[in-house]
Amino acid sequence: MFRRLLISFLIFFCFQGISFACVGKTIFIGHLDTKEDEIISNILSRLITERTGTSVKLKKYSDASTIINAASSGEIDLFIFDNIKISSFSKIADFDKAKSDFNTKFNLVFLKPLLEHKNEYIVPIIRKDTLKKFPALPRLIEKLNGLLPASIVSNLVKDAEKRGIKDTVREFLKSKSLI
Amino acid sequence: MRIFFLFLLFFYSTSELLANTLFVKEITTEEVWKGRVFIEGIVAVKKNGKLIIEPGSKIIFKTIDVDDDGIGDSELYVEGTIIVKGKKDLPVLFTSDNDDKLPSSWKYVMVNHAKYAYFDYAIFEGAFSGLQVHFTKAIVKNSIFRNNIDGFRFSTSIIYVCNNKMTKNRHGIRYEERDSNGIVEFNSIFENEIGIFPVTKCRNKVNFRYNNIEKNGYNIKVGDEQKEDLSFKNNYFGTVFEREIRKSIYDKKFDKNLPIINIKPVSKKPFMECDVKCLEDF
Repeated sequence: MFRRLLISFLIFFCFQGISFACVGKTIFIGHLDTKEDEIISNILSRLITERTGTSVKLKKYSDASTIINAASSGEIDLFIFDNIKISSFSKIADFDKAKSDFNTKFNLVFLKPLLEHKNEYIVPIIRKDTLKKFPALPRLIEKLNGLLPASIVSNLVKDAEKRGIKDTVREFLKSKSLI
Repeated sequence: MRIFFLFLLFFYSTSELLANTLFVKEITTEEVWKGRVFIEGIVAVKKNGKLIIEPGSKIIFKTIDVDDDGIGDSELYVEGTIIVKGKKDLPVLFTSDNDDKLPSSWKYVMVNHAKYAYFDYAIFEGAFSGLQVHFTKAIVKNSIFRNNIDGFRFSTSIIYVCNNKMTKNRHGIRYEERDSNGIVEFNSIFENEIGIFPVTKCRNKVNFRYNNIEKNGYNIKVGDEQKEDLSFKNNYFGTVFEREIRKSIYDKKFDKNLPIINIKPVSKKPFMECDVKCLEDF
């Protein structure tokens, strides 16, 4: 026990610089514990990993405010919200005003919406720090724009129940020539 | 005289002990490993250190994940010199201590800003990256990279990579060329998710030629941030039919924002063992 503690201590404190310099960066994506959010986040994760080689990890949260807190504190880098969740925080339905509000209040940046129809939208939201580290990320995520309407996501959820999320996501992205 | 023998006995037994299980350790002089060596944590060959690993040695990385990032924490980190001298019938094995040898069970052999690296007849399995080389002159020959996330990964190095097998990795070879130059030839890169993954900043200064690159999910896949067209001439891609070959190469044909991978001329037949002529001097 003592030996393990000692090793842990040494790994963390003596060689931290070495260790962290070389595995590469990891992007953490937060999502709500719903099938739809899970599938969209998995699509995002797979796209980023396959196209950039960057490791991506998913973190599940029970409610939207926990996700905002996690993003503000740096626990996650990226998440996806729809207009309903956004308006529950900013009390503003309009996209541009909500965007500015999130930027000021939470230091979070709205990317281009994945889906936009009248006043309804789904938008990837990213930490400013993450954007500095991965400046090309928005361009990559934009490739999903328009590809995930509710009907498609619903089909993907059904498909994932039968075949597993990994294969479903992979096949979806392949069918769009995105990976 | 007796004191001398006692000293030798003490020295020998101490070396043996060190050579069996290494925890966090720095190598600052010349050290030779042979037999089974366990690594738990980080072993670093420092600037003035030199590590020589004898044929038939087994370097076994303990599966620990202290920071809980899903990647094993045991690693060998080289800033000095590493010479791995396996033989065809006595390769040097870099592996994990678990039976499954799952990718990421241990971290990597990392050669970074090192003086020199030489690997002949080595096997890397179950790692995050079997071998990473950065800012170093390195020769990697006759080795096997299997069941890793990245088999062999490099950037900004002078490299000669000949007659290796990369198989069942996520990426057989992953590289950011940057200021690298060198030759990658006579390798068999097969049954990986991606055979070769040029991530970014690749400029054709590393010559990939005479390789068998086949039966991978994609034989070559260009990273999203790669700008320049790339050349992979004189390689064998598992078929002579260009349309089939193009299907296995993820480039501009799949995404108009990506560059083109030029493959012509392609080899019409696979390179066989008798074709292999690794350079003696590089």
